[in-house]
Amino acid sequence: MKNENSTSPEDTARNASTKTPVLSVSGVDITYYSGAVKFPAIRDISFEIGAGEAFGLVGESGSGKSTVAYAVMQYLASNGEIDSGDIAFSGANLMKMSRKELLGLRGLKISMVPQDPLTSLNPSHRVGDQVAEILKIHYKLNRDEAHKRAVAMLGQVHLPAPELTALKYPHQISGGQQQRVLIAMAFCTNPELLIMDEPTTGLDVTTQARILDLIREMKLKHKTAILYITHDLGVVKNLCDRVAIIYAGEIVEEGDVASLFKSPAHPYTQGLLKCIPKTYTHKTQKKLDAIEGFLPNLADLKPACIFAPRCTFAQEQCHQQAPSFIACGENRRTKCYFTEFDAPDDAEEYENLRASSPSKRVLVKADRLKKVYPTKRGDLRAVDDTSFECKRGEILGIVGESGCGKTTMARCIVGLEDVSDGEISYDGNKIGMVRKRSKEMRRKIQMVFQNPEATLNPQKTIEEIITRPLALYKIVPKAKRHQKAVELLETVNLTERYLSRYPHEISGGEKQRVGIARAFATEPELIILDEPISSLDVSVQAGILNLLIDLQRKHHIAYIFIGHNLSVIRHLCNRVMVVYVGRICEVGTPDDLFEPPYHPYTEALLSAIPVVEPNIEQKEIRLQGIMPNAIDPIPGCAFHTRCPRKIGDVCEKNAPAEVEVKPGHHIACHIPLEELAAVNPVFKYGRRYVF
Amino acid sequence: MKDFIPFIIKRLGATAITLIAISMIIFGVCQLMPGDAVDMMLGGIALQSLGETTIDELRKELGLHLPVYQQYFNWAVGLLHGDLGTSYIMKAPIAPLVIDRLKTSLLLAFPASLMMIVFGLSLGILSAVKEKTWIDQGISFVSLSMLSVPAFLTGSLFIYIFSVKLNWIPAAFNALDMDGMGMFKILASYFGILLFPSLTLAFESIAYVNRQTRASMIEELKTNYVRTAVLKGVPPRDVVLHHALRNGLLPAITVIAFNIGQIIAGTVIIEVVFSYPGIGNLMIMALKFRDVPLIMATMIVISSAYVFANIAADILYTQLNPRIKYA
Repeated sequence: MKNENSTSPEDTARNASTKTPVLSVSGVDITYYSGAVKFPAIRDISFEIGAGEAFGLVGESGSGKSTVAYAVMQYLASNGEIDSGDIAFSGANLMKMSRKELLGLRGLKISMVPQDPLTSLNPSHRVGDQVAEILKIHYKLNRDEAHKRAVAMLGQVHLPAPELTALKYPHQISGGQQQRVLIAMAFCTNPELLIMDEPTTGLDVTTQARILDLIREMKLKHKTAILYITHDLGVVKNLCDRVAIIYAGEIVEEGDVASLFKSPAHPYTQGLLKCIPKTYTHKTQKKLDAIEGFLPNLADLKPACIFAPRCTFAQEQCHQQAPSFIACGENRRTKCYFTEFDAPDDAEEYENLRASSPSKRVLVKADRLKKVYPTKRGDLRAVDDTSFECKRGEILGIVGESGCGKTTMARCIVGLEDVSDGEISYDGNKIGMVRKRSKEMRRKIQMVFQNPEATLNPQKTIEEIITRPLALYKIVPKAKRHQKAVELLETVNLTERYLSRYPHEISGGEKQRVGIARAFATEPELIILDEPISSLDVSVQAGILNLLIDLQRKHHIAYIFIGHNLSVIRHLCNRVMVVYVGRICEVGTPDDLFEPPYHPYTEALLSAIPVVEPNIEQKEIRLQGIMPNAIDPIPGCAFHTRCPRKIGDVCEKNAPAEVEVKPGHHIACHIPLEELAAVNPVFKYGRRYVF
Repeated sequence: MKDFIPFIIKRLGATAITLIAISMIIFGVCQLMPGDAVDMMLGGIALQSLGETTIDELRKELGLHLPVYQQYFNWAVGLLHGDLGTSYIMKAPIAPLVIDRLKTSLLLAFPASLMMIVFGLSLGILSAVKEKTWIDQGISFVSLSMLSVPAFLTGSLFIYIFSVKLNWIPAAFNALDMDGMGMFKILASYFGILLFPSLTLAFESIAYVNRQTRASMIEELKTNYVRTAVLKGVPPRDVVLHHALRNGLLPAITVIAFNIGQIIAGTVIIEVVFSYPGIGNLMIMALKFRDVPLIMATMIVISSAYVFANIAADILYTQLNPRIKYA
């Protein structure tokens, strides 16, 4: 395989027998250099992908999964170097290719779909031209022909009105559509290998489900080999044939998706799967198992199992010598000394997860709340006449796609936005914007923000950040502030030594913990959590979720938790509101939401969740089109433009009234309750399986 | 695109207001100068020998007895009709004279602008592509030097080397007679002569454009869409010119437009240094002789050129950037 670069890569590809894998990565080591320090980011990675096979490479941030992708593309950062190993495409060694050979290969035989579709498209070129460019370069097509084929390709990825879309600029189409354009670009030359680097991260679940359908369809149609890179195990389970789990630059386990998800062998894989809230967690009522500890420092590697410091099963030998791969079933291997573990039932059970039941007293109440942003084209109704309440000690979840108004609701409650109409009352008293509130009022409502990176002042130490609210609200006298700060850090499982650090010196999960500690510093009664875990790795997410539950039980605080992940919401909340274009579709307990009757939108959201549990059948409902713009007036039900169960004119003309299913469970839909209740549940559980 | 026409109209409206403001400032400043036109025309000594009545008549003739706002109004109406008034010293209508001199100045400013755009952009792109190599550092060094040395010094150096020492070009243009020659012929025969003044004029601007282009291109070359282009198999040259430059050009255009204005304003100094018979030299002469109508005329022409260079850039900018919101 090594000396084949004498023939051109195309010939090699053509002559290659069907048995040659499309991509073969063997024993690759990649090192990044930062000054004099060496970071062996990738160590001894090997895998193969055959034609028509989708291979998932799953890892958390910092695992080096993207580095592998760019190494295959021969596009590493200038301080990165492939030290050893081979990367062969259809038998031809990519590492020995000249720039010219690579130029002919990239975009033609090997394509890539990057993360973050908006920034990956050229903002100054029409999307049609960006697709046509590939055809012009690789097939030497003239302008008209290339354009024609580009439009046809845009149609194939199900973009609406491809002729018109082709003439648009990237900023004029939605995120899901941008990703479709990138997928069209990748498939338009019918490549043999397609590399996808988190192509659905940042998209809504409903959009993600449709993009995954599209990838699956294109894969079948074009027999493409796919290297799919992601942190999302659910997505891999839904899309891939085989999967490798990568941790800190090493593959720790590899196997068929079906068998790996059924019986994960490596402790890290098991840990990852345990971290994810299940669609039926309420049945088990267990605490999530977070993976304790951190990624090892790659600049200072020890000859031991890379995962040993965080492994609950680690033995003496794990710390002495690194294990090598052992087979564990057909086509499966794991880098661990053991294949069987006495799984101690260490998952601490809550007496009753939601037993810290809210009191009957209403804490905050929104009455016919409206928030309108005036724009040039008309008023944008971000929150459109919604009423809801949150009781003392309750965890209220708000879910919906991005742009549905859930964050605006939260901002109105905290007082960062002025309401346009309606009112918000707290403990029975009307409250206005933050500057009109009393200091005492401000103390009672705190907020934890979505992006921990951006919400901590980079110039202040953690101590300054945490003691600031203590001083502002005179929670404790000056002499005791340090002591109080230490206590607060301890409640979020951080230690005193963090006090003197600056935000850039700690990890994302730790920053979010500091954000939570800061919110708790004022001893509030209500904390608004705006997607506090969505930017964090799954193993970190679990820890934060556990922490939030613990703190809530201890202090009996009310939370309003904004999220888009229904599994997380189900795990955490007492009550959930499903929101669509500023209006409430359904309110109820999480259990109510997961069983029929469903609002058709709730049903679609549930069916879009990429579930990781084996033995679950999931109904496939896909929402077409995009969320209507809240600027244009929407008569009738806001969801009628995309509703798969629309019953007729009544949906377009009249706004549906809320129907009570049972006390506390309301659905706003024209479809009669009996019909809504008659549908099959989205999830059909086979044998209950607990990892 | 449908918003484009109203956008242009709005911009032109704003430009009109700017020009009115400028004309007021120019008129006002000239009013503040000690003495009036008659004093200047006649000079201090002659004034005494003439009778007060003659002077008053002269004032009346020139419209100087009118209230200031009336004078401004008459002048402004004249401007709109292309009448820039009459020069006291030349005793001739100013408009043809200024237009003539403007042409000669543009003969200097145009190649200077061209040099700024060509050298500024290409050196900037080269620097960005070769970031942190000796080529980049060399270009940075040269452009920093270009920024730091004032134009009159560069000009004088050029004259010293190429006129005095090497004797390649004449040191002054006063002797040259450009009357009756077509623009093209002038351009052809005086290429050598124009080269150094326009190069001097362009020097500082080349450096500015180069710095801006370098900075924005380095930024663009790091973006995700450039990565997409590379991984699409786009040849490196097209990645730079077709993908990155299209976006990297936007900030550069603002700087170019600003510098076209600077070049126009810079002609005043360069023309004096090279004794070049352009509008800048005309203005200096007018100032020397306190020829108020001529001062105002040259000032308003130079300012208008500056304003129009900027509006042209604004419009070009919106055309190149599809993301711009017309406002």
